[in-house]
Amino acid sequence: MKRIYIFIIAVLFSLITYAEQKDKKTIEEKENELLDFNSIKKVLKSDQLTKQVTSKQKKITKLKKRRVLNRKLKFDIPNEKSIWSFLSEVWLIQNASIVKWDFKKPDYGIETTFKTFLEDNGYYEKTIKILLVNTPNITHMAIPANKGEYIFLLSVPFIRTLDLSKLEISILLFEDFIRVKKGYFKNYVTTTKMKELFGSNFQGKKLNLKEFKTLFKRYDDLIYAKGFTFQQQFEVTKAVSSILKGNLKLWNLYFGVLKKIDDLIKTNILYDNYVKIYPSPELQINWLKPKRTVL
Amino acid sequence: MKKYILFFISTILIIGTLSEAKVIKKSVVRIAFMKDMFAHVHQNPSKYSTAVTTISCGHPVKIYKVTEHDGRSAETFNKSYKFIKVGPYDGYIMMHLLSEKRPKCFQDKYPRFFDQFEMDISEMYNWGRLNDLYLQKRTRVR
Repeated sequence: MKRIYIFIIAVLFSLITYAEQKDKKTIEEKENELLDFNSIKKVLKSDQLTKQVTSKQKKITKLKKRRVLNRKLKFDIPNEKSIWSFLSEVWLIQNASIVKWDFKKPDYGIETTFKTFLEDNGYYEKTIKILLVNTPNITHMAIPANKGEYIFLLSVPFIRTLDLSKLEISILLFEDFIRVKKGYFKNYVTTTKMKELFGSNFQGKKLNLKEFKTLFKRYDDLIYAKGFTFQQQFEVTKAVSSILKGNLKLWNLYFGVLKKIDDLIKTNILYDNYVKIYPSPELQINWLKPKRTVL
Repeated sequence: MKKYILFFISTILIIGTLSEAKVIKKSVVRIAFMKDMFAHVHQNPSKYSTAVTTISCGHPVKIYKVTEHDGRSAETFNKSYKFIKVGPYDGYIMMHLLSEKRPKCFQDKYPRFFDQFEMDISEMYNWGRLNDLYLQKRTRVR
């Protein structure tokens, strides 16, 4: 007998909680459902309460509209200003085994030197995130991030082989900084369909995940195979050179780093793919060399 | 002579055990919120230390103040970490991952979009690891 009682109480309790969960309406809405103002129109008029009724009904319609809007906002796709860090980090996580960023390494203090370097060159309020990778497949690269944020990938085997100082590494990262600022990466990976998706809403539709998969494929393509064009490299080299020319020590270091890389890629097979990604250190050196004028 | 040596050794041992038995008190000073996507709470103040748990953006944490028996504050060697309490766990988290106010999290702002990527536990763990391993700085205000 006791069991039957417990069962009945449990069923009743679950029904009550279900009803409570289902009924998430505001007090005003519940009142509105209970009262049919149209049937007591005359009474309201005689009591001079019509104004209150209309204000109440307006309030309810406002609440309903807000609820619909809130439901719609949940299906928003971030706009271009706030989506890139998410996308880049998803790519990094999905490719953790290839990019090899999860490993123990000593604290080199690169971030502090690079921060000072940027400040000295007039770049303020920028968040820099450097991720050291344990592979020669990616040497150095800045990947897209949100506004004011910069994500850098830097290969530890690469900087060790080149025996670069912290300032030299900063110059290399600065080149990447300028490259990503010019938007070559974003322009390459973003398809026209993807551009349409940014900042849109997918309520009532299925999100086109295929587009995101193609975007990540294009990430792979740019980072491992295609790289940047000669024109883009020329523009970046010239831009870096013009910024560093104010400080000859830095400019000479930039020139020296390019020479070191040029020597490395000509002698070390591990880095023969470098020229495909950044064409080419040799040309960069030529672009930087002052033109000889024959009198 | 033997007695003196024994006495000397025993006093050294007593002093040693007394210093080890220093009473350390921990009290909650304030509440902070996690501001990055995911982060690890570590057993020790190091990014390579074992992760006790992984927390997501907006998660509240209680920050401890550790004081010695005489009232002096006992700060951790690595000052970029905070000693915190999250649920049943006590551990360390990087200071720059915490915010005093509840942050506007990506997951909360775009919940349906975030759900579409169907992150599993290992990916969430990796995301926390990624935030640990970033060498992060922000250039100063002009």
